[in-house]
Amino acid sequence: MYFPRKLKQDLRIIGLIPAMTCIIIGAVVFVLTGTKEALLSVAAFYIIYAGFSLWIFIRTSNQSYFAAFVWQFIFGIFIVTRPDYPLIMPLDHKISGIVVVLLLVSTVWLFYLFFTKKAKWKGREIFELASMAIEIHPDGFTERPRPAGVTTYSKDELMRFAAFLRRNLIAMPFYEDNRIVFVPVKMDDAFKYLLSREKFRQNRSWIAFDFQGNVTVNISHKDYLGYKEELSFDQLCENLGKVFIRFIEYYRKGEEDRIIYQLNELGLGITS
Amino acid sequence: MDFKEAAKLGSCLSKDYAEDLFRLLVTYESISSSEAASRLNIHIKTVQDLMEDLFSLQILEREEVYEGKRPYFRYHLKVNKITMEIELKSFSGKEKNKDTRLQLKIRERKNAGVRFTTSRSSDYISNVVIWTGEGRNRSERKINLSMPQGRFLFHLPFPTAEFGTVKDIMKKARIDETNMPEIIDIVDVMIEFGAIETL
Repeated sequence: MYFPRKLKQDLRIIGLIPAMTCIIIGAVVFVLTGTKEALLSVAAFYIIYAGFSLWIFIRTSNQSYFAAFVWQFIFGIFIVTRPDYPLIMPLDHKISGIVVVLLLVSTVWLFYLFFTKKAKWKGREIFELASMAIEIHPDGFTERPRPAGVTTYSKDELMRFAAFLRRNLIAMPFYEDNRIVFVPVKMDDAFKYLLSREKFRQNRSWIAFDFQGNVTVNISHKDYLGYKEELSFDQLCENLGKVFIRFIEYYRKGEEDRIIYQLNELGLGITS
Repeated sequence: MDFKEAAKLGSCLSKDYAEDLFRLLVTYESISSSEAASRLNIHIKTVQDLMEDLFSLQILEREEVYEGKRPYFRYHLKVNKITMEIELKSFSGKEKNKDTRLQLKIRERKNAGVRFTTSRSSDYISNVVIWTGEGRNRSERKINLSMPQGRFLFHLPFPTAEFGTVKDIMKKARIDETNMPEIIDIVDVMIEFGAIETL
C-alpha cells in the first residue's frame, strides 16, 4: 500500500559515520606505515566499536545491536586471524576456520535483522503515521502540550509496554515519578540520543502516559519543521496521541505484532 | 460601602493626627479647621482636607458660619461609630456577566508571541510569558498561574483547533465551579494581551 510522505526527505549520512571513520583510519595508517598496521588498526576499531554496540544493546535491549556486537567482534578477530594471511598466529589452526564460520552465520543474522527493520529507529515512522489524513493549516504551532485522551492500563502493563517500545526502537522511555514519557527517535538522531540522553530529550516531541491513564502529547518545533507542509498542529498532536493509545491497546490485547506491522507497512527506507 | 470609599476612609484613619482629631471632634460640640489645626499644631490645609474627606464620607456634618469678612465651616460628628464593610464577592462581577463569559468561545491565537511554561509534571501550565511592544519598547510580562488556571490553559484549544467555550474547557480540565472567577480573570487577561482569540 502506498502512503504519501509528509516528512521531508532525510539526506543525512550520520549512520555512515562509523564505516567512514573506519575506512579513513585504515587508509591513513596504510599510507603512514603499511598493510599489516592498517589491518590491525581496522581490527582494533571493530573490536572497540563492538563494545559500543554492546553498550547500546544493554541500553535498548534491541537484539540487532547484540548481533552487531557479535559480528563486529568476530570481524575484528577475523581480520587478524585470516586463514591465509594471519597477522596473529592462532594457537590452533582450526580457530581460523571456526572464526570464518561464525562470521558467516553472524553476517546472515545481522543482514536478516537489518532488512527486516529490526535495527531501525522508528521515529520517522511514528511521525508519518501521526500525520496521515491531516489537513494543511498554517500558523498552528504552539509550544503547549496537548491532552490526548484517557485510556486504561495498569502500571505494570505500562512498564512492559515501555520495555517493548524501547526494545523495538519505536520510542525511548523516560521514567518519572508519576508517568512514563516516550520520545520517538529518528535514525539520524540515534547517536545524539545514545550519547546524551537527557540533553536529547530537551526540545523533542514526547508522549506521556501517567499512572492514572491520562495521555499527553507535545510536538517540538524541530519535529514540526520536519514536515514538508504546515499541517494542522492540533490534529497532528491528537493523531500522535491516538497512535500511542492504539499501540498500548494492541499491546494489552497481546497484538504487539500489529504495531510493528503498521510501522513497517509505511515502507520507509531502512536507513532513513 | 464600596471599595473606593473604604480606601478613602482607610487613608483618613491612617493619618498620624487622625486619632487626635477625632478626640477633638468628640470633645467639641463643633470645631473649625483653623481651631483644630492650632490645637494639633499642624497646617490648617492638612486638617481641612481631612475634615472634607470625612464630610464626603458622611462621618462629619458641616455648617457654614458667617463671622467677620469670610464665611467658614464648622464641623461636628454625624456618627458615633465608624464601621467599614466591603462586599468582596462583588469584585468577581455580576452573575449575569459570568454566564456570558462562560459561554465565550475561545482558543489560543495564532503566532501570539506567548510562551507557555509547563509544570514539571507537564499536566498544567505554570506560567505564561507575554511579550508586548516592538524593538526597544519590547517588554516581557510574566504571569504566574494558580493550579486551576494552569489546568484551564493546558486544555485551551490550539490555534488551529475548533473554538471551545470557557465552560466546556473547564469541564475538560475538571475545574470546580468555585474557581470560575479566577478562570474568567485569566481569560480576560489573555484576551487583553492578544494571547487568546474569541469567536
